[in-house]
Amino acid sequence: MDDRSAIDKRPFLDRLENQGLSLEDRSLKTRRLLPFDLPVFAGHFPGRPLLPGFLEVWMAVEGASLLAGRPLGVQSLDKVRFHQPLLPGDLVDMTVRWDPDRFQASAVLTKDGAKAAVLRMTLVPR
Amino acid sequence: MSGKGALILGSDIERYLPHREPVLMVQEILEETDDGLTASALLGKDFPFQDAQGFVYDSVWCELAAQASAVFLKRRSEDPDEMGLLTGINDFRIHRATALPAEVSVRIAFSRRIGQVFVFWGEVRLAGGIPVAEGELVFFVQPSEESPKD
Repeated sequence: MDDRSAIDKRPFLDRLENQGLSLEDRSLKTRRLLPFDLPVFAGHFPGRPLLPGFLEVWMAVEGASLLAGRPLGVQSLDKVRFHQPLLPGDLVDMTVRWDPDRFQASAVLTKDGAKAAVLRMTLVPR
Repeated sequence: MSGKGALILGSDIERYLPHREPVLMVQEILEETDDGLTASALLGKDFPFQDAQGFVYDSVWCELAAQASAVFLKRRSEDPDEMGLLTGINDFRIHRATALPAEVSVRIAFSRRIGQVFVFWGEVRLAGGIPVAEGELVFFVQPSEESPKD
């Protein structure tokens, strides 16, 4: 164990294996592998591991923060839909679009080309 | 949150929720009515879902309200293997960034049902009644005979 063993405060995206990241002015595309040993799977749920929805949301917030160049928090989750669960070993493609004038972001998470989650949210500087 | 007067506390929560550490957040059910319940949670300094500044991920409040809603559903279900999955979040507003540790209560109220879809409204407050977050959660409740296809 390293010196992060007590509390891991890395961005959640950094706990996932980065398999690609492209950043443009107002949009981001990234591919992340969900490790089988991600600690959250032990409790959500034992025997049926799947990524909690709140972490899918936070992945998108962190993606928007990368685009904004600063940490962001949530003002409102305007509309979020979870279409299929994300499981250990899944390759997740996430696209985030950022509107800096309105502080609004939208995100789509897919696996195997099919939608896993679609989000629309309003963010605030942290 | 001493547990005094709580309806459900400690490990008894696990009878109503499939969640376990590090995701199990609801600690006690303080009050229950026909249309909702109030739960409590104490998120310690070592809570794993915090950013570099020590603030709770804002989306945690959705999960907390979802767990309270799941307890409400489970206590009314006659199917022991029935499982509710969060499928939607609508207009969920975060009123403040919350640093750890945080002692919170969450009040959820059943709003409506359409077939196997159940809609709840949830509100999270810090000790002292300070509002943290509120909004709508949508669940699909999967009867046990419909085994998951994932």
